[in-house]
Amino acid sequence: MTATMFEIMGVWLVAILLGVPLYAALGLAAVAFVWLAGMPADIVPQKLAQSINSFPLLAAPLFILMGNIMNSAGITDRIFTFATACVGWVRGGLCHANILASVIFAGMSGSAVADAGGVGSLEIRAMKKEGYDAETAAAITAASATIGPIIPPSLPMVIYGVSADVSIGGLFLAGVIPGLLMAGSLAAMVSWVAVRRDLPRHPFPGVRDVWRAYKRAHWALMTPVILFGGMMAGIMTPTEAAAVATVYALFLGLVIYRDFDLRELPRIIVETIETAGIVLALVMTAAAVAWCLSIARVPQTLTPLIVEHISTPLVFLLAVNVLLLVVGCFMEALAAMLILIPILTPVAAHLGINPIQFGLIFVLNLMIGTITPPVGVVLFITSRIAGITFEAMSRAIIPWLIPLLAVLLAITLWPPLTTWLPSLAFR
Amino acid sequence: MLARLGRLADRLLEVAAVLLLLAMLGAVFFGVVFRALNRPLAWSDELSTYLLVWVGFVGWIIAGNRGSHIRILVLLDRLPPLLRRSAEILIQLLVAFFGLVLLTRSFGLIQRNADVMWVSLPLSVALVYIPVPIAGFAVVCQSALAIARALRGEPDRPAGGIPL
Repeated sequence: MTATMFEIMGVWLVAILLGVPLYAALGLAAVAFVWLAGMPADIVPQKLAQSINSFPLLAAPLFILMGNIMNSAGITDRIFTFATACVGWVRGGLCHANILASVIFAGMSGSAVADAGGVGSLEIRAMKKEGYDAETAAAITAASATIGPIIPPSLPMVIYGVSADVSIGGLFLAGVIPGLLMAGSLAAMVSWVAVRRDLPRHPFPGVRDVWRAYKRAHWALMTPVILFGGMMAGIMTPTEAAAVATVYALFLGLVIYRDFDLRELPRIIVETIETAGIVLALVMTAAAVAWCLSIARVPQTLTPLIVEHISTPLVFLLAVNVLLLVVGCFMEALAAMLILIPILTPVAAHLGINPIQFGLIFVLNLMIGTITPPVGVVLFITSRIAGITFEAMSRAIIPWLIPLLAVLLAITLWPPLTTWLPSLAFR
Repeated sequence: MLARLGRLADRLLEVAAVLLLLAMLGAVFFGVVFRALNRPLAWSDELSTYLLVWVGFVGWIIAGNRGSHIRILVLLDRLPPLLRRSAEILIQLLVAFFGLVLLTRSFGLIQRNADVMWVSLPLSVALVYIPVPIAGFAVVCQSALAIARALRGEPDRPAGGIPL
């Protein structure tokens, strides 16, 4: 049976490269295995439906909905104005404001695409108006958008947690330090570039104006407090926190800020459910394949083979980094994640690697994958917003990959960066 | 006629999408609220996860209608037009076959679960499996339409990216 599964995976790989939609290729692989193994084909629809019959996974559509509401309710605008008031007066101020706004937005949205398309479009417009070239503006926006799913809440972490059976709350906490490190290293790079290129700065607005900007954004800034507070205090699970924060975002837009049009809601919901459908179709079919892989004992066959050649955890982690970065260049992050989880996590467990650290490495790699050409969703969006070609975008992003790769290396080499905070909370 | 039917189905799906997502959000939210008020609801977890299954399949169908499921087009786009169209037809036949499996092989599941009840509400577990054949049917229809487009030489819809 193991051999059968390997043959199927071979055919499957050719099929997706030829352009078969990923969910269908995964589904067909499961159907083929079940048939060749002489099992009733009813197992496939059963695995599909049961794999998303999961309360933790419910957080995924809710976080997508929350991000979409935030972006339509004028909340992003307040956050960016506040960030600009805070750091706009430093040299290269709007670049720093861009990063700071992404960090704040990361605390209320779980997706790099929501960040790039929402707060990102404000950032790029403001930067171009102030005389930054479109390439720099788009590159910083794309690079800082990857912080979104690292600082909790996080859509990919929900999916990783469900698929790899790791605590989602633990992954969320583990993302805080790496996310701040990413912001810090990007800011350091900005400071260096700002002096060399003599980038523009704002005059210091005065403490009173900063306070005014804060007051305008105050209720929006409470969203991460509700999310974290609820989860950390043990009052709510991540899923419940997602629901409460979504309702809070609606309340902000409808009652407090009054700039959200209720007639917009159906459109936002249909968009949310479309996105959720793309994600969940992959989660379902990948779960069916994961079940086949485990029935066929593929991990048990592969793990000894890999461990035979790679015996230390560090070498394995470095190899995983290289693998994921290469895969991330050519494949959609989520699809890559779902396919590789059942193959790589047993090896990591065998080598005694902390599952939370491994999850963070996985997610950060794939987020970097969203801004590496030739296939990078975030690059696609920022190039369109900035009005530059994808090729120009791909060239502009390259220097900004360095600080992010440095953070990746740091969390690979030094586990406490990811494991310390969760160990503190879940003692 | 066919176009009108298609628009009607689209509309129906969108209404279903809005109602399902709001119901799911409500079930989780009120679960938290009532627990905080010390009057916990027994059904909020079960109802919301079953609704998630429906949300997943309705989203799957909507994404299929809009052609936004993920596929890798790098190689396909390099093919000469005629070969590309033939390849597209072959691919859509494969997709339709998967849809057909979902459509035909889920009735047994529905039947076997028809008299199994939820724990917290007097509803049938078969409800969880009902969206599977609907999605299967939609996949078959969508592939048929894509094949028709390829035969007429129209370009297929662009594939989307995953919003992570």
